[in-house]
Amino acid sequence: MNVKSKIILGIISGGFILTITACQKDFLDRFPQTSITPEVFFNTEEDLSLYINGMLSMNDRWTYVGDQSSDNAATTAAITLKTMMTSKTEPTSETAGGDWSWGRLRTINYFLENYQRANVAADVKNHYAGLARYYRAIFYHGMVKQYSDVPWYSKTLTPSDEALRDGQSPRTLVVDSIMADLDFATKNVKEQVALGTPGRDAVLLMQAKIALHEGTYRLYHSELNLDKTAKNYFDIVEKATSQIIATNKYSIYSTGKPNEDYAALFESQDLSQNKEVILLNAFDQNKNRGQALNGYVFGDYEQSPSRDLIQTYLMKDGSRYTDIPNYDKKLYVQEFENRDPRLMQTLVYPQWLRQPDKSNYVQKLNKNFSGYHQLKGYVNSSDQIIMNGVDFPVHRYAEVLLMYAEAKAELGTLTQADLDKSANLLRRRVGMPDLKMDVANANPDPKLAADYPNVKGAFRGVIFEIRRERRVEFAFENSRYDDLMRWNVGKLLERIPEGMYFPGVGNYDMTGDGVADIKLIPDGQTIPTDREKNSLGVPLVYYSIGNFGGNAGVYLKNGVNGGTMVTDVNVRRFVEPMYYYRPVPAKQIILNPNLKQVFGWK
Amino acid sequence: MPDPVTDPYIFSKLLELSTNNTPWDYVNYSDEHYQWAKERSDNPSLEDVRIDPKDPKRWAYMGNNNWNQYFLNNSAHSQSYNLTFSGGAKVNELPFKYYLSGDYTKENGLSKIATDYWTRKGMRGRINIAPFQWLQLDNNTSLYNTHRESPAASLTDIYYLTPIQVAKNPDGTWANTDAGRLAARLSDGGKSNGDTFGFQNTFNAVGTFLNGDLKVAADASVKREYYKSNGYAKKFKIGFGPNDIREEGGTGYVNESRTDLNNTVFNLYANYNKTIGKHNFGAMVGYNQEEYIYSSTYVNRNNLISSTLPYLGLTTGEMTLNAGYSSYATRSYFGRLNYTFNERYILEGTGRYDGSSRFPKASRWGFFPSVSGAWIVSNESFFESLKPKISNLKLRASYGSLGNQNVGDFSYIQTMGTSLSGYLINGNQQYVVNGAPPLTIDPNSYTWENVSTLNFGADLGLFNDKFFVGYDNYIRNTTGMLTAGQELPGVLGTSVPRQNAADLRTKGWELSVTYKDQFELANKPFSFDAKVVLSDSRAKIRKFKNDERLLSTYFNGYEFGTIYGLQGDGLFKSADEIKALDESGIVPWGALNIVNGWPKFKDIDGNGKIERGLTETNLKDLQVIGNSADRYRIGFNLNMNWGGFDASVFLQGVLKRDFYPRHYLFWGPYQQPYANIYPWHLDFYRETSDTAEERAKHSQAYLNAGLADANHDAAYPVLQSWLADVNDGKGLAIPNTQYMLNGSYLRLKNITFGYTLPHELLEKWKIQRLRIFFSGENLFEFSQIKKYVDPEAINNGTDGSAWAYPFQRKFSVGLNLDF
Repeated sequence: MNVKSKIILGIISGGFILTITACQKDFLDRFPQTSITPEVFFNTEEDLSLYINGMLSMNDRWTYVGDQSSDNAATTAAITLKTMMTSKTEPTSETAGGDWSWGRLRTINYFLENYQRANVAADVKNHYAGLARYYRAIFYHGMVKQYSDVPWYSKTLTPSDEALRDGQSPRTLVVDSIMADLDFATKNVKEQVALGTPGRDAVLLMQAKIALHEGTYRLYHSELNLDKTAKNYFDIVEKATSQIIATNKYSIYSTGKPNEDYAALFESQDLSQNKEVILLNAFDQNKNRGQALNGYVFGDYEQSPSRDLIQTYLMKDGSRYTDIPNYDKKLYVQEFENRDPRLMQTLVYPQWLRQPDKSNYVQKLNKNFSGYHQLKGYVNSSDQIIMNGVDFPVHRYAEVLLMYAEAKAELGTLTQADLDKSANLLRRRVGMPDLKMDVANANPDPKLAADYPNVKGAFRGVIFEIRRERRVEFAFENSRYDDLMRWNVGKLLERIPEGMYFPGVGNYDMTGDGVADIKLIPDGQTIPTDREKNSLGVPLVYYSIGNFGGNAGVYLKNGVNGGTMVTDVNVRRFVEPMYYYRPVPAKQIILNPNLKQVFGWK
Repeated sequence: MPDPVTDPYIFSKLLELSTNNTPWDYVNYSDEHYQWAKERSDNPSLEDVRIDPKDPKRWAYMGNNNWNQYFLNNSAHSQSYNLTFSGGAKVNELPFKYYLSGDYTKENGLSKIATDYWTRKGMRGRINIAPFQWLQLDNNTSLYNTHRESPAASLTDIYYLTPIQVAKNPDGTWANTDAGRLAARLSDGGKSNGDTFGFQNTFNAVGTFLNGDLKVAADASVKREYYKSNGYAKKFKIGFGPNDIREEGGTGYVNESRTDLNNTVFNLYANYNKTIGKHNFGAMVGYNQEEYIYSSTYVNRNNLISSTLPYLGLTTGEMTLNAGYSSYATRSYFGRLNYTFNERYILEGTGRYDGSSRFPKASRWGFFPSVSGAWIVSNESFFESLKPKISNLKLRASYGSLGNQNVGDFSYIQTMGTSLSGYLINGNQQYVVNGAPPLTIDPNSYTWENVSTLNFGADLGLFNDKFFVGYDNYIRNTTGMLTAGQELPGVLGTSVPRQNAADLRTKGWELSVTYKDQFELANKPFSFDAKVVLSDSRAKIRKFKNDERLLSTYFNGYEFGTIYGLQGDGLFKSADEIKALDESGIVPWGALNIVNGWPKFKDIDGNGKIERGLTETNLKDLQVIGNSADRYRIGFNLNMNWGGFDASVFLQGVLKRDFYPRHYLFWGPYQQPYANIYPWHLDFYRETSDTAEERAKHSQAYLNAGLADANHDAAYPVLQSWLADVNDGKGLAIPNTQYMLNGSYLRLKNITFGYTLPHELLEKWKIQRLRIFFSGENLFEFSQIKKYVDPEAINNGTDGSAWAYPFQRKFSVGLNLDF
């Protein structure tokens, strides 16, 4: 070969490589294969459903530890409000932030901007749009609860939008929009939906819940100056709850076992057929969906039930526990005698058996805890599959009935017949006598009257009893904190939760068999190696008692001289109305000077 | 890894104290606990497990364990062997060369109680032929197979264990503690196996024409890797009490994954070089393209039919399936022109035109030119007289730009991710869309980032280049840096995507000094070379949209690594001091009490309040207190050879760097009271001494450590949990001068000794070379922070947490055999 032909060969062989590769014109076009491009989406009902199901957000079994922010429990946890109340200096946006995150609204609004593209019937589109607006209402309700006034956005924003720097819209306007969303949702969301997702009745329930919150909030919070507008919201509650009641689809779960039926709602492996459950969050370990929180619910994790809650439960005959002389000096075993059966289905009681043990559980005491142990949410089993697979009732019919009763009582239109078809159904399940409106109104509970001094009018007595019913029925279901906020009684949270009462050193029965189980000794005394045994030959469990902060194992109010167990001594201060709200983060005000800080926050 | 405090009395007492000083006082040990802790502290030979006196159906524990020692080997041993055949011949007067080698490596992992290792088997074959005088063909094939076996549980979980836990019950079951569960998971709870099979082939052809002036080269290389993994978890048993043994770990599962990686690169270029008298011209044009495709499938199925048969085909439960896919492609055209006059003056210009699949069509291509020149002073005639001493002197200058495509493969394409719903919908988890797609990308601000570097340098060789110095000084301007966009009000509900959002300028220099020599030592040649490379750079933002100059993101003039923090001012010693300075704005969670022994800071803006500014224009009490960037990076390399022995040493380090610790490996209970207490924490502030009555309760070790005595001159503040909680970012989680650490280090990365047997000895076996060697990795470091964290791990994590897999020293032995 001569030089020239060699060059030609080189060029040809080089060109060959180029030909097989370079000629792919789309070589530099690469597309993902594991995510969806929006341009080709939102066409079918499946698309709408895929997106809406992605928005699903429901409370789960962690709800059972949610009451630690209320007066139902003492807590050792970093709860924002407790922190604010015990802080030595005034909290600011630097030390007490709210949740100013807007990603969820963007997800919702993005759907509302695109769902119309789907080539499906109008009622199908509106069903999904209704669900999106239901989620938007829930989102904004959460924002209003924190900040009262917030900017309202009904579309997704882009970086160049001037609306990014909008100021807050007034609460009235935001709530009107929330109500418009819910109105649309209740009219368009279908009744029959996939199990574990919200249908029309869940939407109606949410409408009632938000309206009841807003109605009572406006009625009792004078800082808003909106008490005149409260009535509209109670009307909405009455209408929405009546609509659910009228479906006749739901009932209070009862098999005629007053000591078990209530508890069954919280420890069932399958609630899908339970007619009390309006929205279900199902768990099944075999389907990769499990939640086991025995260690958090029970024992000395963070929260422990307060004595105040236990005293709220009525006696089994319907009389008031707090009317009994020296009720505040009762020992643990006595406290649980002849009470509303829901008490023993909510808290650990003296004869309780913990699986897989063969003998009664002896309550463990610990400093900073109340000594009481929570049962609701605890799964009494040592089998992990069972513990993980307990279903959670996100919304149950009981909530509808109590909202109905409360709204009608606040409207002043409640009748005994109304009570009999609502709150009294809950009492009948557990074998409690009915709540009588005339009796309640004639003789309002002085204890509750002191707790809720802002309730006025002829229905005071029955409103107190409905509030008691709420507190009892939904204990440890995370509704108490919101209730305290909307009733404008945040001051109740200034009371430091107290625990079990012990008159002093000595031996105590904790299992109700009359035989001592524990021995309280004064601080400083050492536990003998050879422990005292009870009449059954079981060694006693020893605790030293003393004043708070000392070296004792259990803190009592009067140290070695007894008293209730002390969970905390830091003085709590609930500043009204400021602590009902949360500050807008300081950085957001720098980024958008049109945002104004709310209710005296700095 | 630092060794924690293991004394059960000291640990219990201090952990309780740390929460007693907070509103969240939940660590509360009983009198009986302390009594037992004291007994075991005074006499460690006592049993560490007993029946719980409060609950006779359960075990109670009082360990004094250092879990690092229980779970981890101090160092890892590995071995490595290499066998090589190589040679050549002439075929038809043209050269033919071959090379064939095999290798085997096994590295043992850290776990003491579970199988944990990695192996590699590989072989490589290479042939080089010249079918014609003008054509060289070279083919290089390598095959390798790696295998990794490890327990299903993660070893880093040992960071969460406390010393008072125990791993085993007296009846031999695993204990009802986190340590017992971790041990059970590691030893009985399942395994994970990973196998990689790799194939790599590079074919290369070079044609030489015009008497060597023109070279045309083409190469094609293909790399394929198949990765297969198999993992399973199964039930294990935990002993709660003497007759209460429970199964945990659910129903078990098996997962399998298959991954396929395909990477292909083609290059084609022609190089023309011509020398005419003193003029040398060169020109080059070329083309390059690369393609990368990665795809994977993963399947997991629950519920083993039998715990002894952990195979996918023998599972009956819920099945989940996942797929992964990623791909990119690039194409480039490039060219170069260069001219050298009289071996003294060199001029060169290059240009590249690059296209990437990572950018949208409209902004896919970028052009990156550069020019450079050099003057070889030592070749000048006037330098002749200096040549014996200064053998080489070269001055260089260049200005050039390159493109960076530092973004995700498909980031410009707006997509919505999907995943399995967490919830059961109609009884099953279902695939759902995760939410709105990110913001759309503006192609005008989404293209190659341009990195232009102006460089001046010089090379100096002394004494026949035995001693060689290279120096470079550069300014690098990055325009259109691909980074997260400006910070916008939170109501946007999403972040501004990565785009060409910033301009950056980096100034730096690099100095390298090499010394190599060879001389006779005991009649055998001794040769060595030593090289030190020292470099430094600093980078500043020159343009970024942040009108408010928020500290949470870049702003004009921001220097990378800048640490804004508070000036430490000791600890509060009295109520008056506390009253005189309002530190409420930096109280963690807004809740801890400021008491004597609390850290005190300087009130820079003099308003009586310690506050952190949010913007650079209003820093309040913040100041620049350091810089976490690596400064003065150094590498040192030494190689020696003598009479068959060889030795090499490699050191690497960073000579200046600030590190502010923000993790509980440093802060222990000051961070959160969930795990260990470390010896340095014992020097915490104690307001008062204990009374005689209290002392009587303490163990001797507690008294000996001085923990019952007041400590006003303490290195650490009052023992208060969450005081340094990084999750809240206040208190001591705010960088401050008092606890700033010196992050510089110099580490002995590798040291190797080898011995090659004399050739004569091996000749009859036809062995060309037989070398045995021993090497150690990461054997030692000069570092102030090594007692807390691994100095090389401190840039891990966004919060500078230094969180890393337990650090290990490695020893290996090996063999090279060449035929």
